[in-house]
Amino acid sequence: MIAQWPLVIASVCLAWGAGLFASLCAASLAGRAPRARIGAWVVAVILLLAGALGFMLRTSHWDRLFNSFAHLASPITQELICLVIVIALALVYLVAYRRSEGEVPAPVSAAGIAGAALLVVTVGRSAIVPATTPALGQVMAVVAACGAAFALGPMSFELVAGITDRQSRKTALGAFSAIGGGVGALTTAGYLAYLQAARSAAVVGTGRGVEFGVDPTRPQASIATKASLLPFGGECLPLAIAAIGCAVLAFAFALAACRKGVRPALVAMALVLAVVSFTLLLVVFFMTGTAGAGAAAF
Amino acid sequence: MTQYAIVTDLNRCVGCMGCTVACKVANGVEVGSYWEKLLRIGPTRKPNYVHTNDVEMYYLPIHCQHCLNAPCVSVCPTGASKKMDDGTVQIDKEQCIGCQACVPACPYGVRYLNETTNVVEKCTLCEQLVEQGGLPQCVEQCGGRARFFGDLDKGIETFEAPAIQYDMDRESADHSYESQQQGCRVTLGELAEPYADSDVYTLDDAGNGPAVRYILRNREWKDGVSFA
Repeated sequence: MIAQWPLVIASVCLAWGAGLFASLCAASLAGRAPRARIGAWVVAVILLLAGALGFMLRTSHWDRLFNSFAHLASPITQELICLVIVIALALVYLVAYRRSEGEVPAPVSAAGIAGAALLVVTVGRSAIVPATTPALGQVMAVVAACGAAFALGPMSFELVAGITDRQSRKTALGAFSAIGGGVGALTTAGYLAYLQAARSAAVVGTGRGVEFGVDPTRPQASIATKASLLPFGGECLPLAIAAIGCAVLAFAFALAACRKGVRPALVAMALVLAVVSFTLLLVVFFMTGTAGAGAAAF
Repeated sequence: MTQYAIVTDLNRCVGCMGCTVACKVANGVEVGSYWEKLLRIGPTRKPNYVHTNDVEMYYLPIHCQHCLNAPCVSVCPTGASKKMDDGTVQIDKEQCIGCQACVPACPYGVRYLNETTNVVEKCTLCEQLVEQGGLPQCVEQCGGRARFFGDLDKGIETFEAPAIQYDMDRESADHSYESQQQGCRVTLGELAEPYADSDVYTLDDAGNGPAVRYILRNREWKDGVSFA
């Protein structure tokens, strides 16, 4: 199927914003980069609100928006509840920051990290359409989202720190941006490898799949080949390779930034590549079809 | 517990698309949306293929499968998609916010956003007719008498389709259709050619448990049929 771009963009923004907010809270706990905190806070909130806006734009009945909180078992409802909680925690963080002149109490920062982590878990569950995905696939999807947030968050914080404190030659969060980049690359490759293995083993790989047919509602659409259901097959192959390649390059740039001291250009490059990688991961998921059985598509 | 469903005898289906048209007419389905659509599977080579004539094909009507564990119900943030007591999956259009989360969640691609009302729609098994003792229109209008409707819990042999019988009193002054039609039903068990349990199939099951059944004899059922 085609990529659901509003869902993709909203998921990327939410994971990114949650990762940055968690990084901000971690920096507060560690007493690092005091000059970067308010700037990071602003960027994190903007990203979270962008994700919320992406969801709102997806709906067609704004007058019924609060109906979205009705079905608690729905991953989307859980995601929205977590988003509201994280935004509330962000506001609490800001109030605490202003009252304590930049020294946020540890419980507030810890709650911010926990809330952001929970939000990323719900992003993973809702973005990868869990209802028809095998249980392992749901776990892998959450891991992929967490890996992306772990890459995007510290990299973003380093970028903000690099811009706000040009005198410093030390990284704001130590090697976390590089570690996050490495984790992000591993989880991206891992999820795509899992999807490849799971789809290959599915019915379509047994040779009994549809070889030829017609959908009269789309008479000019050709039948999808078995390869098109695989991330490393058909038209998804370059996207899947690009997703992994961008994640690896993001790690490389982040590592270089850590070793050479804060270089905003290097960190910015790492961040852009990490964003592109996560976006492509979600696009590949949608393009290979969301059905867990990995069915052929007309 | 009731689980309404439709069974289609694919050896009887002639691909007339009467089901598709009947559904469109009965439910006012928008252009571009297909609550019911008919796929042609094949022609594909038979196992004993030697000559170019050794091919087979069948027609496959696709619509909401009213799954036992419907993924569209799981993902719906408003609870607008509901599994009803009769086993069907229905959409409460007053609650639906048109987020379309259910559209990619469905493994069969049978949900469509109505761009006029901005809510998602799909096959309802003609609940408005079934409630009054009628049959879904796709069953009613099937050209090959291939589709049957009933409660899965009672066995597909009990599924029913229209069997028009007329009072052939030609001396009667009232020759209207309504006066002659007796409104009878015929069951799958009465009408269908014998079939084995191995001839009964469902669409690919990703754990959602599709309720709709298909009977296909003497042809190879093609898995992996779906819908982007």
